[in-house]
Amino acid sequence: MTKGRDADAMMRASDQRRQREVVMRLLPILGVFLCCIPLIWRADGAWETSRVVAYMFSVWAGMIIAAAWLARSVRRASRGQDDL
Amino acid sequence: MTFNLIVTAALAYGALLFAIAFFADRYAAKNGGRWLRSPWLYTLSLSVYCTAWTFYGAVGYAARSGLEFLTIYLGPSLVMIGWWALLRRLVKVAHQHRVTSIADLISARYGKSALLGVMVTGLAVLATTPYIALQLQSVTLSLAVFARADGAVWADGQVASAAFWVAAGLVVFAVLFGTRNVHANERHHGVVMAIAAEAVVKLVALAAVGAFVVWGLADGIGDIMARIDASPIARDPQSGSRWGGLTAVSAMAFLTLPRMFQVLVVENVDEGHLITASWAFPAYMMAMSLFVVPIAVVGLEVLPASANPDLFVLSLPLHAEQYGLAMLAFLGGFSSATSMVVVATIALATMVANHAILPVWLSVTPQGAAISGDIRRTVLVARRLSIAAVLGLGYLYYRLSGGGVALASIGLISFTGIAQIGPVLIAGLFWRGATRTGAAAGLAAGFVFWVWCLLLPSVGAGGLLPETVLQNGPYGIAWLRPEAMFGAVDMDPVVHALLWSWAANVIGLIIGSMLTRAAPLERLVAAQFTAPATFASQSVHRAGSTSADELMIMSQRVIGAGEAQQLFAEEAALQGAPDRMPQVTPDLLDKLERKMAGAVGAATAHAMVGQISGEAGVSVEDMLALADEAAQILDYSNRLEAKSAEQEATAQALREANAKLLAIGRQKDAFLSQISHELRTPMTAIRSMSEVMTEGPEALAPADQERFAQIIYSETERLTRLLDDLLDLSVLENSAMPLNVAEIRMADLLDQAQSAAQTATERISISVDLPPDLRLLTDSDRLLQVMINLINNAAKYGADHDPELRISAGRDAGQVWIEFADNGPGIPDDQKELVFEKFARLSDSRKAGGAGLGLAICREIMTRLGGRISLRDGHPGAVFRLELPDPR
Repeated sequence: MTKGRDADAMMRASDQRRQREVVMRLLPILGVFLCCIPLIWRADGAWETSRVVAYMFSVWAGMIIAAAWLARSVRRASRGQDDL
Repeated sequence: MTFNLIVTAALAYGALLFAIAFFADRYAAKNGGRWLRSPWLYTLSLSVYCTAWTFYGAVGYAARSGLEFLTIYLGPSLVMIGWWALLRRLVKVAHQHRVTSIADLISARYGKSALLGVMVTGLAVLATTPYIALQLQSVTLSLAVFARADGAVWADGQVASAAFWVAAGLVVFAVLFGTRNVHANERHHGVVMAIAAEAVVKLVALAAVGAFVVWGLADGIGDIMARIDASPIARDPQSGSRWGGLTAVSAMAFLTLPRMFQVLVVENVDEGHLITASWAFPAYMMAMSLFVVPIAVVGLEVLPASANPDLFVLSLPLHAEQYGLAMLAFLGGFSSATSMVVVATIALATMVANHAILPVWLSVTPQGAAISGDIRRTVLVARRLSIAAVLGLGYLYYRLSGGGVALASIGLISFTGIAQIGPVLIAGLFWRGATRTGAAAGLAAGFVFWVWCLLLPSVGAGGLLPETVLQNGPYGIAWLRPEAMFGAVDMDPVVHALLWSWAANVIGLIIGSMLTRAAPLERLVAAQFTAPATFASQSVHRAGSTSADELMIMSQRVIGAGEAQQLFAEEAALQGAPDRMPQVTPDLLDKLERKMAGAVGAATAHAMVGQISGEAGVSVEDMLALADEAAQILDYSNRLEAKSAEQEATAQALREANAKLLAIGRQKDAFLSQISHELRTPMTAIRSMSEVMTEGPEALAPADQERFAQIIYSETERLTRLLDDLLDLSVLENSAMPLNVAEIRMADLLDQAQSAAQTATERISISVDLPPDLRLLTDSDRLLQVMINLINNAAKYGADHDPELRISAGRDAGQVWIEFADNGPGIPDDQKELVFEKFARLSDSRKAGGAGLGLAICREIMTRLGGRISLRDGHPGAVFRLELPDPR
């Protein structure tokens, strides 16, 4: 009974770890993509500097928050490993 | 607000930083610097990326080119966020190889190549020169702004001399900071601490000016947004290629700039700090960039058109007569410039000293590495000279460029140059097939294009390149025009240079690597770099000849006497001879080289160790080339070593057995003569007594008769005992003894033993200490025999006065043990092996009543009972220990 639950938890933990690694590798790529979006607006004629400033800083802040979340989960996972 | 006040403030601020560095160093030395190993400190120290270019130049950049300035901070942010793949490996590998600089890393990766070390060093010095000029220019300009506010407009000559004094001051500052000593691991706690303090100052200063601009000069965020759209920078569309190119080049420069490599990799004490820095450093840079656009927009609006946009951060507060804020802004800019100059010159000086000066010095000095004297002195002098030279070059560039170029465009020249190291670095970490030749080819090609397309044109037409070359190409060859190579007309100069230099670099690297084969040593390092987890660093066997003393002398000079002695002592202890100098093994050479690499760089350390051990690298490569695969040789030689160690052990065991046999043989001879003597003595007594008695009973008095009969009786008994013993032993040895196993209490057994050994117990005082309910499952008669023997022995061989015997027993790990400890002289170490042998008896046979068979019988009995008897070490008297299996 407990054994089953342990195995479940371990499966879940390893799934989470794999997922986290994928996010880690994709995050900078996503960042590059998002940072290039204003270039599309430029061609569109929709360029409005104040909006681009707001957009760029929002993307930046969003990436920082995502990175901080990843950092927290990495640290928590490594602490969990230490406990074993 | 006087100019002198500003200069005083700058000096006082410098002194404060120095005090911070000094106390941080002291603290680190005393307490191991626990507190100095914080991930936050590490993150702040990374802010050395934000120099005067950021503090002053970003605003100027925004005023001239709109939002493009963001790319310079987005690139590194993306690198930090994606730390997982790249940074972690970089830091891990650098730590494994005790890398001291970017040049050291590249040199180490490509087979400790001295050539690559020099190339990277040269490139780094050249690329950093404009960057240093930028810092000089910004500090000089900011001083000029204050002088103007003071009412004095500087002439060109005055500006130049101010720049000179700024440069001289920075040399002193950097020398004081960075070259106080040579660390074995090249970490500078003090400098890192000061940099972190400066990081806070520059952020606070820029944010203060920004807040003043947004809420003081403008009406808050809404107003600023409206002004941004109305400002000329809003109408400035940027080119997409510049946006992408600049993000890429700044991301790459973030890794390869010597000063960034210094704080990011060399000063890193814990890989885990990267986790925190991965989001905290982008956050710092975002905070630094937040107010750039508002300051630029308001500056363009408020200040006269002639004002230099690079100095808006300073001139806006001055314009609004906020002198305190202006002072803070000045200190922020000063912080940005000094932190960059200090770290950059430390990093460059380490590279120049280790990769250019030391190798030359070593080859010029006649005895090379073998002469005596502390080489660290030389290293320090070399580093100081390098610092002065680097700043001198910066000053020269500043004078050549005329000091009028926008800060950002100078910075981009540096970035493009230093980014040429990028392909070689990344290939080194991820492509195992990249070779030394490929790396050299790539670097050289990239360097040539960078110099031709960007550096030479940067100082302006007629500066380093004649006007006609710029316009029509060298010798009129149009497709070699520096700013329009291969017909790429109308391209942005930075993107143009970046495109061609990187393309040439990567193509050179790939083709060079494809056409050449890596040397075996290089291949081994390549494997360690590209798969650091699977290839723990392993040593390449070296064939060299040198004495440990020579090595010791050399290493003392490089890593210091204390550390060298410790290393050698540890190695000697590891080799099993702690009091002597260690054998010169490949392992020792390897360790020494790694240790020395921390002080003088991998290539120099390799050369020094190679020079002194006489291997000169050839033997390794030849040997490995013969077998073609390094691993094969290593494996084979490891197996050989193991085999020869095994044979050595066998021979040793044989020698020991032989010695024991000889000793026993001698004992046997001695015993035979003894036993004949023992047998003859009672026999003689019996014969003569019985002779007298047979001659006639009347000849003897009745008392004598009785006495003689008594003697005959006791002598016969003695003979019987002797024969019994011999018989006993032979029965035991032939395993013919039947065992009569039953459960018995230990206490009962000991009581029986004491009463049986009556004669002995009268002579010796016995104390017994045992658990009351200790039971045994054994042949009690046999065990009793052993105990009686031990008690008798204690009485015979124990102390002459007040002999004592302590008997104790207990349970321990599945065993029941009984110990008999006397207070006698004990048994000498060299006889401990022999006492259990047959016919053995300690040299003093005076007290011995038997024939030296007792302990041999004891041992046989104990073996038969499934236990053992042994002598315990470390006690004054003799302590016999019996062990039997626990029945429980």
